[in-house]
Amino acid sequence: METIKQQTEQLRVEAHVQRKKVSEVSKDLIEYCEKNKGGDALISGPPDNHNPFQEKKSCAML
Amino acid sequence: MADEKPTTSSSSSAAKEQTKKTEPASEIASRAAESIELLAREAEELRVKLDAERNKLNDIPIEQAADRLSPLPHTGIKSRRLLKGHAGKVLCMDWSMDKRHIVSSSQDGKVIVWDGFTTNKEHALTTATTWTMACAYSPSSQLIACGGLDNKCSVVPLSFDDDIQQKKRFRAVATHTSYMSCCMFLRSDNLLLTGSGDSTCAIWDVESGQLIQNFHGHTGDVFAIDVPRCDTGNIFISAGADKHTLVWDIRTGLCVQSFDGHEADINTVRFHPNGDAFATGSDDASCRLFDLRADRQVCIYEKDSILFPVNGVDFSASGRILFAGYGDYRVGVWDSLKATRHTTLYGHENRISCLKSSPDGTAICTASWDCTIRIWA
Repeated sequence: METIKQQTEQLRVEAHVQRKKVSEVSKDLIEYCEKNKGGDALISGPPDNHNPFQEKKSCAML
Repeated sequence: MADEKPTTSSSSSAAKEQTKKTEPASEIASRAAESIELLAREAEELRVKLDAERNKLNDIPIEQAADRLSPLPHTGIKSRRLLKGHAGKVLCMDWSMDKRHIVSSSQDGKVIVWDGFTTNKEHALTTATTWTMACAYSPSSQLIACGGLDNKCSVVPLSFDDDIQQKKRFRAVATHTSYMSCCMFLRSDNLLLTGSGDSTCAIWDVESGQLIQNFHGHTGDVFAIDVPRCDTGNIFISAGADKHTLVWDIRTGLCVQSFDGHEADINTVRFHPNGDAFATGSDDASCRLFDLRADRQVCIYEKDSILFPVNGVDFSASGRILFAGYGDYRVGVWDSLKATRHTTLYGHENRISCLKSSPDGTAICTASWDCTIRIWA
């Protein structure tokens, strides 16, 4: 009884969630990725061309 | 309104009395059955309505919207560091906010703090338990939290005089009624968020060890938790054996959204850097992208040739790349927008148990059952 009460209450809450279309959120996601592409070291390379993990280990030791 | 007449015969009132006495039990039972039925019907109707509402919003798939984008360039990502030192399966790792140090925990109960640049071990701690399933760096990098089969989450301050009595330096903060599967600090060194096999999550005060808020709602073991990076809201997400990801309001302790789609246990969840979407990885061999604003799944990352569970997922700094660590020892590099696998990274010799991007996105780190940790960049 308690469980079903909780479940129904939960569903009532979820029924009132405001929703956006997939196309809208996709657009936002694409814009976000494009806007931040320059700062993404694994896509555009590190900003100052220096990624401490991409140096050779021998260099790090020198 | 009862039609009580002042002139009721004694016999009929006795009969009434009789029925009054016998009715309650059966009446309550039938009323309860009725309301259960009503609730069940309402729940079913709500479910149908919710599904319909969510489906209505599924207008254009993200792959189609991303069609005009140029493909991901060659990334040149490869294994750059190999951290060796654990004697058992490595189960979890976490980055320090200094983007350099890494903490890892293993099946034999060891917790190691590494310098990711030099691969040196800076601390090696022995915990009170085996299967130290979770470990986390505090925001200030001065504390480590860890735990697992001991049902606890303990913290230990990092200082340079390890050795003697190190076990005593561990202080239990959180206690669950089953194993502690995941933990992370919440914005400060003083708040700890944990998830457990007891199907709850909880927030604890590190200083006093007091429970601040607990979160009931999962119907199975919790395996993963995450909070948005750009932390303005008051939510976190959790997922696990019940195949659902739940969104929680930290202040009220209530579940505010629920996401389904996976066909098996969810092992890992991670917010997209935009804070509105999140990725999941599951035993069903797929990763999925969900969005809070769409209230539904937005994308699925799967291939017929991939049959193994996903145990760790994370994004590159812009969110364009989704990295996934698999049970087949490989790291999948997915274009998160076009939903295609860009490349595969090889190196580990056993299943990958955990995968995390560094705080500034210069590298990713993977922990594996082959007893090693690798840094890729």
